Amino acid sequence: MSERSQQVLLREMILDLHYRLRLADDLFCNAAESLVSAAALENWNSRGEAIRKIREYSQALRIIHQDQCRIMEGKHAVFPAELEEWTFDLPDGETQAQLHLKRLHAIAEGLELVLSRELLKMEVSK
Amino acid sequence: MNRMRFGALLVSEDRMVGFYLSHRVVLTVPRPGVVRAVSYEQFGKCRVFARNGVAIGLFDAMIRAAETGARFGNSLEMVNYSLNFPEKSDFAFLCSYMVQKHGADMEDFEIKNIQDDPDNPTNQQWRSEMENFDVKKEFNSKYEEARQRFGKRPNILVCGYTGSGKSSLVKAILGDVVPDSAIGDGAPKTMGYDCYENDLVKIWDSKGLELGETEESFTEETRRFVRSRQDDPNVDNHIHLVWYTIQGPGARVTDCDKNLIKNIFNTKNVIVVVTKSDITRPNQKTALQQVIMESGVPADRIIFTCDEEGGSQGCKELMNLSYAMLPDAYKDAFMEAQRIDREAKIQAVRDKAGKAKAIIATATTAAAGAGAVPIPLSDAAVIIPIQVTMIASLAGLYGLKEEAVKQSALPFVARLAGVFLATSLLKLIPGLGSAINATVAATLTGAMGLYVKSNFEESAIAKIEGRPAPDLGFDVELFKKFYAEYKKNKTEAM
Repeated sequence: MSERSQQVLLREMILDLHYRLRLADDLFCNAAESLVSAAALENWNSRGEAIRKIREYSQALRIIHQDQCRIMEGKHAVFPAELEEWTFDLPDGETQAQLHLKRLHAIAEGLELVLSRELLKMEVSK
Repeated sequence: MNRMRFGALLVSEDRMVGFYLSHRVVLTVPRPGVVRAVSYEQFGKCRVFARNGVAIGLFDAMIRAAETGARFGNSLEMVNYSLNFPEKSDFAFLCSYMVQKHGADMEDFEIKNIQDDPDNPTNQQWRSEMENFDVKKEFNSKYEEARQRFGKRPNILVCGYTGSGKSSLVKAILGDVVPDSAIGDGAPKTMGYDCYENDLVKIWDSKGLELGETEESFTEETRRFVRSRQDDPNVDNHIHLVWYTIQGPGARVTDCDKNLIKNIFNTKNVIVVVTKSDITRPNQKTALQQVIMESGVPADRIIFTCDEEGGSQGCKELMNLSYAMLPDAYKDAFMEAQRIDREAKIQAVRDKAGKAKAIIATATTAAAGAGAVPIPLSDAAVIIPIQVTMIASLAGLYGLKEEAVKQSALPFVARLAGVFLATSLLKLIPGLGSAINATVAATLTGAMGLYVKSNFEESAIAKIEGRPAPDLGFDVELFKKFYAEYKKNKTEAM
């Protein structure tokens, strides 16, 4: 495969990762909304729902990250350990969950930044 | 999400196979030849062999397929080559391999459309518009619209002989809408109608009706005036109610009175107010009532009033009757304008809950529509115009006057906009401001509506009771309470 063809494939896959990150924003919204809800309602169901949605977001990011690592070299993101069901039972559970979600969102932003830089490099080298 | 991984194996309806390269293209062999990237439109409706692990295993196969320069007769040959299958393997073999080796089921596959593509000029235009969005200007414009809708001013015509107590009556019921200078000493004035108005009501005050030779010309003048108003295509300019004043102690209803009540005004819109009833004898009252009824005005629309220390007698009845007789669209403004019955006024404020609910429901639906696609780039700015409209409409509904809007509501809206444009939502969820979707947009807007409605209702009642308006500052804990309420029981919570 020619170098140009490789570049075209790589660019296509980077754009796809961008696309997937934007879809993941939807999951982030769901998770954040559930967390606001859990903080306000303070019931077991809403807390469980919040944890479930945060995990869903985390899983989506992990997959995107794995695929990104497959096609690009660079530092690997360090994901926080998954939240446990009982996180909200801790005295600072709500804060921990918020920080966890914030951390995940920061990773998503980091991934997007790396992809954007790579795209920019490709545009410049054209 | 899980199905979108580089290398995931896609199968089209006509059994063409391909590898997922991106959300835009599939690697396949569309016609005999080399491997090509084709769009999903070309590839057609397809299904996918899913499971995360499957695609990981297939990624290398995809790269192998992409790198080869070999010519394939069809897409299945490409897969056979890249997965090292026997050369003539058929589609059934592939399916069996995917199930047995990878435990993969075939699932429906569809590319989710994201409309806010940064390359899409429509979105760029929208963002540019959002950057120029002027909260204050938009609020003022929507507030005016809401006032037009919810605060339609009634036109009340007050007619009677000079010195019959017209202006004093208006002042007793509606306050300072008629200036003191207009309340004369009974001296004759130029003939016609003076207009006095405020934000809530428009009063047409007759002048120049004197006993004797002016009666005929006054009647003609009134006929022309009433005709011109009622012929106006805009019903807001019509006369909605007539208060016809007759001085009680005079104990006399003139032919001019009768003619005006019966022939010039529509008796259905007329309330006859007999003033100075405290110095009118009972037999005079009975006689007056009898004659007025003969002019077509029923007894329950004849009100006796007088000025007494501690309040004007009969004015509450006049107010209630007027409220009942006015067309629905004009009732709210009249109730807001009257200063006779405070309890009724407070109740009217509480009765606005239904309209407030409709405003919030409309905004919530609009916000859900706006957030139907996640918008990660421009924060939650897309729902700000919707929320500004909602808050302005609520302000209009509760009759927060311009000054109140400037002092409290507008800074509140600006703060609200700030909250959403900032990177955090209410300090609860850092980062939420960077993306928004339908559920979030709708839920936040609904909760915001409840919060604002509660504040405005409280402000409106405080104003009636003469208390200082509560601070409309953003209270996180209070917002959480309304959020919980809204979330718990969406519409009933309102």
